[in-house]
Amino acid sequence: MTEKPQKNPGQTPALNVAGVCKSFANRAVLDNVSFQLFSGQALCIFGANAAGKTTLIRIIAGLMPPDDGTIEICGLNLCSQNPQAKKMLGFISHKTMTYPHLTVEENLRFFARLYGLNKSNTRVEELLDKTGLILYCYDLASALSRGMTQRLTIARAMLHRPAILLADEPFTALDAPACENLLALLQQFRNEGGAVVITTNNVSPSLRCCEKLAVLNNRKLFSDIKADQINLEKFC
Amino acid sequence: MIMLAILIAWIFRIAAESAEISAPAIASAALLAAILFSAILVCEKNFASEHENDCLAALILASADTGDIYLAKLTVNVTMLCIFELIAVPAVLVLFKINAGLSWPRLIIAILLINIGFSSIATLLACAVQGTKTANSLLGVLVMAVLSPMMIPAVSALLSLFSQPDTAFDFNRGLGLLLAFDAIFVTVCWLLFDFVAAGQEN
Amino acid sequence: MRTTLAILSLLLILLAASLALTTAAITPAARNIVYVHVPTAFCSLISFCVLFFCSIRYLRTKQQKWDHTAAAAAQAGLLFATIMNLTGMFFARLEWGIWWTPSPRLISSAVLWFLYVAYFLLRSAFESRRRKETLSAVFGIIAFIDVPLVLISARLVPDIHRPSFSFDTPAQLLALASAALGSVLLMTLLIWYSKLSKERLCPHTHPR
Repeated sequence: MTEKPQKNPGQTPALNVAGVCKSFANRAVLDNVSFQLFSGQALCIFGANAAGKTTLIRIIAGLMPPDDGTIEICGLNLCSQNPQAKKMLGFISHKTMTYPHLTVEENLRFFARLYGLNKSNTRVEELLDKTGLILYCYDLASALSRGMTQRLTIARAMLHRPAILLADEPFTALDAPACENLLALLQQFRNEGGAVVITTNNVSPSLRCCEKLAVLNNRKLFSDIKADQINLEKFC
Repeated sequence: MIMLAILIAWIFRIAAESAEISAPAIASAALLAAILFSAILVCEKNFASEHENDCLAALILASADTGDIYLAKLTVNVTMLCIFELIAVPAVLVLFKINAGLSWPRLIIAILLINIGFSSIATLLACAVQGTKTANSLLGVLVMAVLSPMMIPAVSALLSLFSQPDTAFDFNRGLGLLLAFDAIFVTVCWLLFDFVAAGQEN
Repeated sequence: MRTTLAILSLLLILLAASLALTTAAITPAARNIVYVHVPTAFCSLISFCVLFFCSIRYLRTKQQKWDHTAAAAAQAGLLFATIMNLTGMFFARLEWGIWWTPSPRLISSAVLWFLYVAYFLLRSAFESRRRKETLSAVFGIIAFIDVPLVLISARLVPDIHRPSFSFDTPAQLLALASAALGSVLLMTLLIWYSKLSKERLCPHTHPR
């Protein structure tokens, strides 16, 4: 299904996914998936297990190429203008994507260097403060609780001030307070003009942070879904 | 790694004593075996830490080109091997009593080329085997199978350095072949790393 | 088509065998093992070329049929490489009195066999089909690049692999050519059947 025209038709969408297809070993996983997202918006993609949610979000993140279709990040084609487009993306998943043998601060400083932030840049301190990790900055990443680890993951993803934050099953194994923290961080990111895409089968917290809902089912993406249309039993 | 190198050299030394094999020949073999096994250990450990929490995906997201990750890993692995050889090479030379007329600059160049060649293949294959149940043993088998052609010029170069000056072994030919191997292996592995890193997705 | 290939292959091999046992026979009789050794060496190298080509095609297209063909070529190549090395060892024992020595061609033959075995060890290590296919293709390319490198570097060691006879008579040349062509057709059949059996084991679950 294609996206309905937005309020500002002249505005370049932050994320434009058009006709994305993907197959593994002759088995189609995604078929002509298309949607648009503008700055400040949040999209939640629901789907059952093995629906292709992780595949879709990893394709958008540039971690795997699509078989067909295009992905544009703020007007830049992800395939042809890869380095510039990748810099506008932040990605978090249920895996931490941080080094367990480094401390919280060391992890952030390492990735800050990779993103080209020099040592005098105060972005690391700013994020430690924002995510509430300032008291844990000298703790090893392996020693953090699941909720704290997710905050570190978000801090890592936001180091380079991305335009879009992609979150693959971010609420996995999080308790209620940790979910609230995560929701607050995502809302803060949106308030600063960022767009968010979340894939999940955890309905409740996702409905609170995303005004746009979509369902990935039978290889196709169904957009403009209303909250009451989602079958809670199917996705929990 | 240093302990491993010393043990390998020691076992070869005992074998040489028992079988009356010439010291330069067996010293070359011992040193190569030590470097090869150390390269496998270094490369495997290097990528094991990336695989643990999907950190390789984070590196891919943060880097402009996936090939840069391969070159960075290769540089680290070669550096680690060089540090290890600061102790291992003198240990082998002492055990096998090799010192008379040894050309140190040529030895350093030969060992550096051997490090680059071994590390180039081991780095790529170490990334490939991550997540398998038999990663350690599989990596050893794969690396040794692919690197076996490189052993010949490596032994030739080391043997010509360790032997008396009037030997038939040609150092320059061995060095030229090592250079060719390095250039080909590094280029091919750099080009193929994209597929190997993307192959971690499943 | 397959039946035709099978019949042709059989006829050519029978022709080679009959010539080798009669007019094209080399003395002493044990040397006639070269009519098996040389064609199998040829086939094992061709299989490697097929493996290399299919590996590149798989990485470009991600179509499973290329992986199936590559694996089939590797199976055929391993079979021929095994026969090549075994017959070579027997020939070396009879001709030069040793089972094996590090001469250029013998090193190349051994490395070829090691690379085939390593290819299958790699394939057996992965549970994920896509990862197995991708990494097998990568290894197939690296292994193929190894083959000319080993032929070049092995020149640094002395060569014992110099036969003390040659194929002089037309009958001997015909026998060798028949054996080689018959082996190539047999190899093609083996790859074909192996690829078909792999495709039958992986039916399409969600056809596009």
